[in-house]
Order: sequence, then structure tokens, then C-alpha cells
Amino acid sequence: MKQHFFVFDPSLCFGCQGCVAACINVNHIKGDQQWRKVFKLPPHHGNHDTMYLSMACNHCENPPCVQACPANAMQVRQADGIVILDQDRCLGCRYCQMACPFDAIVWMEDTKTVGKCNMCCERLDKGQEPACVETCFSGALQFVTLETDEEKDDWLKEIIGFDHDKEAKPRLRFVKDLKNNPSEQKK
Amino acid sequence: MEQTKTSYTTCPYNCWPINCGLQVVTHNDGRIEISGNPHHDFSRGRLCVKGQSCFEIVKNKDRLTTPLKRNQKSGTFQEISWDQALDEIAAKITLNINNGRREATALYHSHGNIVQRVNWKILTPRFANLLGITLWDGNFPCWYDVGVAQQLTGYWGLHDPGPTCEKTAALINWAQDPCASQANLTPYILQVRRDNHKVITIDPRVTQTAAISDIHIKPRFGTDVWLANAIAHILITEGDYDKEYVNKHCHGFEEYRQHIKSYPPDQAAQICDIPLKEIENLAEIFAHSKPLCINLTRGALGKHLNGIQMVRAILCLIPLSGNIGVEGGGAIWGESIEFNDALCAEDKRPAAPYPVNNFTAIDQALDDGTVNSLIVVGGNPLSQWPNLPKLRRQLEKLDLVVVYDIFMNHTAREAADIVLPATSWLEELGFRTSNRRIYIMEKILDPSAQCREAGAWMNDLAQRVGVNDYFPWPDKQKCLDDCLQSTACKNATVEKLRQHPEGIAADIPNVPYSDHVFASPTKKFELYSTTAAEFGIPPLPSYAPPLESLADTPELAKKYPLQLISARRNTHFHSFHDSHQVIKTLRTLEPEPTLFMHPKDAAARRLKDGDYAVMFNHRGQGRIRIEITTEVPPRHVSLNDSWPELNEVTATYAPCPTGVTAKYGVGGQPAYQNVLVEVQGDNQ
Repeated sequence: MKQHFFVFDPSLCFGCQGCVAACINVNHIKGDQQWRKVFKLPPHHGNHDTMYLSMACNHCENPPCVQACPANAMQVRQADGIVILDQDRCLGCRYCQMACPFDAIVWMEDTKTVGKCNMCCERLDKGQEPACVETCFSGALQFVTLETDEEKDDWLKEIIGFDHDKEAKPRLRFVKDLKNNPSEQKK
Repeated sequence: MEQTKTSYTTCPYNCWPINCGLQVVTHNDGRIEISGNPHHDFSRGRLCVKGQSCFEIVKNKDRLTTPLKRNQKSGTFQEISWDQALDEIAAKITLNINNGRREATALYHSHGNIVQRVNWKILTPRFANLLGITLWDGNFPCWYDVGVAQQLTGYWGLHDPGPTCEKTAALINWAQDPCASQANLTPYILQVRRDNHKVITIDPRVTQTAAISDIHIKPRFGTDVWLANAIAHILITEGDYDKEYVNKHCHGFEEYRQHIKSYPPDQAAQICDIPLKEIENLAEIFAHSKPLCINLTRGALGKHLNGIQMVRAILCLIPLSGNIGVEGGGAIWGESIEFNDALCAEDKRPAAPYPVNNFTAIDQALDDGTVNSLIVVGGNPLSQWPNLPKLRRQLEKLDLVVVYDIFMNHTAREAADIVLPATSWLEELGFRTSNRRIYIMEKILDPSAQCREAGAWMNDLAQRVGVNDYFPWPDKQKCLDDCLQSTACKNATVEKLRQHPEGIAADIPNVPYSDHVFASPTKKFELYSTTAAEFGIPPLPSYAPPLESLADTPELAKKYPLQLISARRNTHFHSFHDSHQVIKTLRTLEPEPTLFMHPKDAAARRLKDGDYAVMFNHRGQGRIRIEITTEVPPRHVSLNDSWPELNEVTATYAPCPTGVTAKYGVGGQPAYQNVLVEVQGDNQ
């Protein structure tokens, strides 16, 4: 099966927040409803002072939110595994928020539903990249599609500050060969 | 199928030297969608956090929609008509003129007005000249002393960042943090690294740019002259400089060579508090990385007491290392694209003792009453000028303060008698110059409520003062076409710009100074500045300690032991949009003034991450939230320049003599960076 990944190079991210705002702009959501967030990572080795992680929904292989939703509002798109939320079906029970291991689902006060990253699936269908990836100035946030179930071996599943959830299997990866400050790799 | 219309404009922020392109899709139900302009030569469809959030501006519930007048008794604002507002302003201007004090009315226009280049360069100066009133320009807080340094050498860093980065072998960001202030430069910086060339950042802080550089040098705050002169010392001692270029095209090399002897590298290493090896490595890069460019795009260095000398010391390294007139070499400052300057009507300006646009002159004019009325166009002095406690007292004394803006700001809220509602960038036709090109700024929406363009109300105001030829054009498009009648813009008209969303190239040299003729009295690059000598400024780049610093004013440092650095992050542009608090995306990301502090200093004050505290000195105080980080060195704190809290404590002192400003039109930046403070937590 085809699978999409957000691939992140923490050595290139300098916390500009462009991805956060691009997501808000493209999805027509309010400025305080961040579907993508930039986190500060805990202290790393070496002399590099602040490390960031840009994260939205990780479109897990076994998404707990889908299992938790009583209204079938969360569904996995069969062709490529994107976890899509249909806001029209959402009852606002917020079970998915409790189930998500990554706190990636946001309460939308104006619509009384939840909201989250749909991987810009409409843009993908038109051959465009997700808006957050397109606007990333440094290339820290990348979008990679694999045509098979196999995984690239030059990726990491976790870094300091992000633990891979073995049950949910998030599709967030980290480049092993950091473009900048190689000493920052998880040792 | 739904009909949509695609138009092009630029980002409404005013970063320098590049403004990114916007594409605006208008749906037939009136909705608009804003994204990056993929045709833009430099930004290529990418937008930073501010550009992505600008969709919040036009329909914002906090926009000013009608003229307001302050009720002097209650202090609150009441709606008035444009006619009443302009009548009252005209009455004051006329009274000043009739009293033989035309200079007593001052117009201060700043970045909000600079967004529309034609307002900044033509229409507002034209207004001030034809009426005969004082004109101050918001470039003075931003970069003016960096301009003086360039003027004194005769060399302006007219290189454009994009093509320069593409061809350079070494990029030095000297006291610049483009990843924060001009994030669209990031791909170009990384391109330098991908080509196996070096990116060097020189800054006492770990800036965002430092984080993606090959080399980060952290000289002690304010010692840049020592660092630059020590590099020159090594280059000259080792004979590793471009002798032919210096002999042919530089003025005063012998004096410079003698002068540089008093900046030996080992002593520089001590003063700058960095290993000697780092200075030697830098000199090695200057000697052997060809071409080499220095990014000096913004005014951080100009905010030092000794800023002019710092920038001159750095500029002198460019001819010394043979980097003038070559692609990929030189100083990156930003090109200058001139319009039809005759339209400014400077020749029609009535003679009067106008206080020049230098903060020393401005401060004095407000103190002694030379100016009694202030019209602020797209600016916010009560956030961005220094020493706000003093400025507040000065503004209180004025007879009239008018603020024209799209949102309320600190100046309007605290000091304005009349507030005028401005159009946003999507509501007026204009053009923008950026990266050697001219871009259309299409009028996409009708003005909201009673919002009016600056040129429109200035015309009505001019007529009330008896000036009838301010806006002689039948419409804005004809006006813009007339403004484009210059050598640099001769290939552009509004109609042509509309057909070229990728911009129209200005007619300016590809490689600045390839003729090696400089804008100095000797027509050479002046290592020894003849003009500086004339004005009593050291003619050779010389070190002087900061106005207030830990090492140089030890008595003051006992009371206020932290050096305050004013900084920039991506989430704000100066104090645009009421310090970005009306833009929800940006407010969520940077909701309050945050003081970055080293863990040692926080521990000494028993402050924890996220604590609230008061930052203060003998001038004033501001309430801030503490963020603990090793990005600032010990005994230094930094605060983003968006916040007025910064200027509650800064000093009014502007080192550049007013005579320089009178002669060159630049100079007079206050020493914002030379400030000592103390911080005390709420629980102490």
C-alpha cells in the first residue's frame, strides 16, 4: 500500500512557525486552533541551544482516534492511509482527543467539533504538497510518499523528545543523516 | 462552476530588503484566499508566519473604521466625520503657518506608510514639501546610522541577497539574523552551504541564523570594531589583501594601515572574549574565500553608540579582500530603485528651520516646543521610539496628536487627539520595489467602512490649507504611472506590471560599483573618511565603548547588571498591528513580552521559566515574562522589539551629529542597544 510520511530534520528547524500559520491559512481555521504546532524539544547534546519539533496528526498506521470515534467521523483513507476527519459527522464527544497519544486533535470552539490535520488531502489529490511542507523555508519539514509497505532505513522513528508509539505506529520519521549539527542525533 | 479571479500583490509587512509576493484569489461570494505568489522571483510561493497570517487583517473586527476624536474630559474616543477631523487638523496647521511657525507641525511617517512605496518616496514627502511642514521618517529608528556609515565610505551595499548568495563562496551574517527578520532568505543561505561554501554568523546570541550556520562567532557585546580591525590587521600584516585594488580605488590606505596597528589580534581576542584562533580563521576566510559577501541588511549595529564606526570597520574589509564589483561579493544591504523624485516637489518647500530627521533633533524639538503638533502616518512612536516615559511627557505637552493607522496602537490609545482609519494594502492600488524588481500591488477590495488612502485625505487636507496642486492626477493609476517615470523604472507602467506577476526588472546595474566610482568626495572607497573628519566623527574606524555596558560603565552595572539586547523573531514586524496582538495567529504564538534570560541569571534572581517579572532601570520599567534559555549569554537579556516594554528603559541618546543628517538625509538612530537593566520577580 502507498503510505505518506511527514519526515523531519530537527537540525534544520529554527522555530519560525511558518508551517503553523500555513496550516491555519489553508484550512481556514482560527489563529488559536493550531492543527500543527511547533514544540521546543528538551535539551540535546552539544552546544546547539534550542531544538524544535513541528508536529500535527501523525496519521498512525493503527490510529487510536479511529477506534475511539463512535460516529465514524474518523476514517482511514484506503488508498494511502491518511486519517481523515469528517467534521460534519463529528458529535463533539472528544473521545478521539483522549485516545490520541500525541495530543494532535484540537477542540474547535466555534463549530463544537474536533479538528485536525487531514494531510491537505485535497491538495495532495491535485498533486500539491501539504501547505506546511510547501512553506517550510529550511526544508526541515518534508513529505515523502512510499509506494510500498517497506520502510526506508535512513530514517529514525524517534528522537530525544519524541517516543515512537509501538501500538499506534505514527507515520512521523526523522532523518538520520542530519543536514546540520550532526552531533544532535539521539545517542 | 464557481468564478474566481486571481490577482497579485505583495506581503503587507515591510521586511528589508525583500518583500514576498502574494497571490489573492477572489471568489464570487466575496471570500478571498491569500497564498504565496509562485511567480515571484525570490519568494517563489513561500510565505513566513506573518505572510501566512495576513488573511486576518482586512476583515478584522479590531480595524479602525471611522475617524475618532478624544473627549478631553472623559479621555474616551468619539466618532467624528472626516470633514470635522480634517477641518480641525487644517486649522492647526494654518495657525502654525500664520504664526510664522510652519515647522511646528511635524509629520512622522513610518513602516505602515512605507508598505506603499509611492507613499513613502513620493506622495508623503510631496505633501510635507508643498504644505511646508516638518517631515520625519520612520527609517531613523530602523537603520539610519548604518546608512551614515555607508555614506561616509562612499559605498552602499547595493547587492541583492538572492543572486549574491547564489554566487558567493562565503556569507557572513554580521549582527544579522535573517532567519528571524527575513525568513525567506533561509533557502538561499542553505544553498550557500549545499554548495560547500561557508556561512558564518557573528552575534553574541545564538540566533536562529546562527543555528543553521557553519561557524558561529560570539564576540562580546559591542566589540565589533575590534573584531573587524583585528581581521584587517592580520590581512595587512600577512600581505593577504588586494594591494592592486586598494592602491587604485581606496582613499587613505596609509592612514588606515597605521591606525589598524593599534588593533592587534591577541588584544582583540581578549576584548572580544573569543579565542585568537577564531579571529585568525575569519581572516583566513577573508583572504582566501572568493567571492565573499557580508550581510548587513538591517540596523542592529546602528543601534549602538559606536554603530557608525562598527559598520565602517566591517565595510573596510570588503575592498581590502578584493570583493567590490564582483558577483557574489560585497555588502548585502538592498538595492535602491529611484522613482520620479521631481514629484516630491522639494524645490517648492518654503524655507523654515525644520528640525531634521535625527533623534537628537526630534527629542529637542519636542522638549523645547519647536514642534507643537504631530501627525503620525503608519507609525507608533509610543512603542518604537526610545525612553517612553520621557516621550509620554513630551507628547502630553503637544497641542495636537493625530494617528492614521489600520488598527489602534500604543500611540493612538495613549496620546492621540484624533485617530484616522487607514486602508489596508488590498484596498489601494500601488506597487512595490523589491529584489531589483517592481511588482504590482493590485487593488482587490473596496476600502472598508470609512477607511481612506493616505494620498486621498492628504489631498483634502492640503486643499483646506490652501494647497491645490497636491494631487493633480485624474486617478491613482495615472499618478503611479507618473511616479514610475524614472531611469530605474522606465520599463514599468501599472498596466505592464499587471501583466507581469513575476515583476518587471528595474534598470539598475547587475553588479554595483563595477565601474569602481564611489559616492564620496574623492570618488574612491574612503578607508579614511574625509566627510567624517569634517563632522568631527573619527575618520578611521575606531572603537568606543557602548553608552552603557557591563565592562565600560561599572558603577551603573552594579545597579543594573544585565545588558539588554533588542531582538527580532518571526512572529512580529516592529509593532505592526498593535504589536501583532490583533492577529490571532501571531498573538497565539507570541502573546506577551518575553525576556530571554540565561539560566545562571535566572537562578541568581530565583526566577523560573514562565515567571512574571519587572525589568527596570533609572529611566523606566516594563512587565515581562521570563523565558530561560542559553541562547543569550550570561549577564545579557533580550526582548523582541515589537514590545513597548523594551523602550520603557532605552536611552534617547543618538550619536550621529545632526549636521550629517542635514547633509545626507540619514543618521540619528538612538543607541537602543546600549542599555543596562535589572530584573526583579513578582515574589521578591
